Formats: sequence, structure tokens, C-alpha cells
Amino acid sequence: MISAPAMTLMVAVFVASIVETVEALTIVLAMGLTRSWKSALVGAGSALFALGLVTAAIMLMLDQFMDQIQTVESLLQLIIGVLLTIFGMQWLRKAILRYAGLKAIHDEELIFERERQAALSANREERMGLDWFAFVVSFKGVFLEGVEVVFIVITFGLAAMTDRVAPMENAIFLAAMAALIGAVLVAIVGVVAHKPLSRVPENTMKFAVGLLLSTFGVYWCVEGLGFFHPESQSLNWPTGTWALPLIFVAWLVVSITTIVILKPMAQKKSVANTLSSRP
Amino acid sequence: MNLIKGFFRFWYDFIVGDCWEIAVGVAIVLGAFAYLIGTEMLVLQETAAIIDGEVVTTELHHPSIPLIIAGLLMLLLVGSVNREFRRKLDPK
Repeated sequence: MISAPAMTLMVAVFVASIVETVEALTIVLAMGLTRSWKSALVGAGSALFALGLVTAAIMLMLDQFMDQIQTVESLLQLIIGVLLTIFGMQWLRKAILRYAGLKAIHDEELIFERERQAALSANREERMGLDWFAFVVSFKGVFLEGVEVVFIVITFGLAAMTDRVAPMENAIFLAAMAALIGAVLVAIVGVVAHKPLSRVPENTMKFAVGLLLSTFGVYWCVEGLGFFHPESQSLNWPTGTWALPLIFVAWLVVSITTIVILKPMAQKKSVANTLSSRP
Repeated sequence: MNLIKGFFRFWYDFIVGDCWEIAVGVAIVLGAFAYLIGTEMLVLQETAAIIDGEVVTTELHHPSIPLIIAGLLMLLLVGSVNREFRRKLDPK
């Protein structure tokens, strides 16, 4: 039986992985269809290999220092909390701006077309038997989107592993599996559909992941602040782990209220600006 | 040199992204509370227990700190979205 925190962890990583893989898939598809499938796939494969190396190196390092890390648990919570809070708030901010009509909705077909045009106009340069442009663009696309997932897997997993109230020994493994399932699922659908997955509700998914990252981020930030107390011990939330659903609801209410207030204002302003710009 | 620059650029883009005020805001809010806790200007309540004959602090509490921090971070998000709203639709 999977516990509620484990389930939350897996869902957050699974959704984040889907969002990032959809974005990476668009780039690889554009390179494959317009330049060279071989180069695009070798680029994507090399990026996955590099991501595996980065993850393995981080895991080895963590394993080496796990004992020391656990003695400064509050510092670890603070670092992870700060990173997750900043990361989560960035995702949430973008999703709110898109819902309010202040930022263009992430359109995979539009991005695919842009990448396709760039691929068509780029010069052909062969290196090691590969179309270098297709290789580099696919490598960068997969690696950069993948780093975000690796970051979420490790920070989330590590914090869940060292949690005082309900530590999850295999949290990083569970998170990695959730990410892998999400990525494989998108890859299979992408291969079958053979086109960008524009129907995936990316903004809603980003909004949900942003909410979860911000929730856990704030929770661990506060706990980690105890590091600065002479006792260097984690600070406690008044309601213990029950604070998590409460923080989640608070972020949700704040975000939805912001959208509800800004959306009509943005529409009104946009109409007024259009009218005033007419001769 | 370019490699080092590229390395820092990557991590800056990755963590700070296109909205530096969130990263700076989070750092200011948490830095201020870290200072207040470190200098014991905010007195934390300690729950102690006796383990193997020694008095050990088991929990540190302060009912209002978590709520104030969460509230300030939420205000920071709203402020950042509002700033973008003004920047986009009211360029003056």
C-alpha cells in the first residue's frame, strides 16, 4: 500500500515528466521529420545517456555523504525547500499568466513549426556521419527538459527520504520510476501519433506541478529555518504534516483568485489598447 | 572562461529563470527570518524530553512563523504576476 506522501510525490514527478517530455518530443520530431531521423535519435539518446550519468554521479555523491547529510537535516530541508519554492513559484507564475491571457499558451504545434523552419533554413554540416544541427538541437532539447525532471526527482526524493515525521526510504527510486513511466508513455504516444502532442493540457499540468512544488517547498523552507537556531534543529509546523494540504489549498486559492481578478482586467485593457492604437 | 560563464549562465537560467524578483524575494523573506531566529529575536518554544538521562530538545515551535512566511511568499507571487500585468498592458 502506497502512503499519501509517496502518492503525492509520484504524481508530481509523473506529471512534471509528462510536461517536459512533451516539450522535448516536439523538438526531436521537428528535427527528425525535417533533417535526419538518425541524427535526431542519436542526439536524444546521447542526452538521455548524459542525464543518466549526471543522475548516477549525484546519487553516488549523496550516498557517500548521506550520514553527514542526515546530521544537518535542517540545512538540507532549507536548501531543498528554497530550490523547490523558487522553481514551483516560477511554474505557478507562468501558468497564472497564461490562464489570465497575459502570456501565450504553450502551443506545441506553433513551436514545432518554428523548429521546423529553423531546421529547414540551417546549413547542412556533417560530423561523425551525423547531421550536426539535428544532433545538437535534439541533444540540447532532451537534456535541458530532462535536467528539470532529474532536479525534481532528486530534490523531492531526498527531502521525502530524510523527512523526520514519515521518512520514505525508497523515495528517490519511486520518484525516478514515476518520471520514467511518464516519459515512456509520452514517447509511445508520440511514436504512434507521429506529430506534436498539442492536445496535452500542458498549462493545467504545469499549474498542478507548480502548486505541489510550491507547497512542499514552503513546508521544507520553514522546517529548515530551524538550522539558524542555536539548537540547529528543524522547526515544526503547528499542525505537523497536516500543514501540507492546508498550504496546498492556500496556494490554490491565491492562484485562482489572482487569475479571476486579472483575466477580465487583462481583456479590458487589451481591448482599450487596441482601440487607442487605431488611427 | 566561456565554459565557466556558460555553466553559471545555465544554472542562473535554470533556477532564477526569467523572473529574478521571485528568487530575490524568497531570499529576502527567508534571510530575514533566518536572522531573527539566529539572533533569537524570535523566541522559539522548545519541547524537551529526557532520553537516557539527558534533556534533549525534541521540537522547536513558533505558531506564527510558518504562517507569516507562507503568507509573504504568496504575496510575492501575486506581486510578481501583478508587475507582469502592468508591464504588459500598461507600458507607461
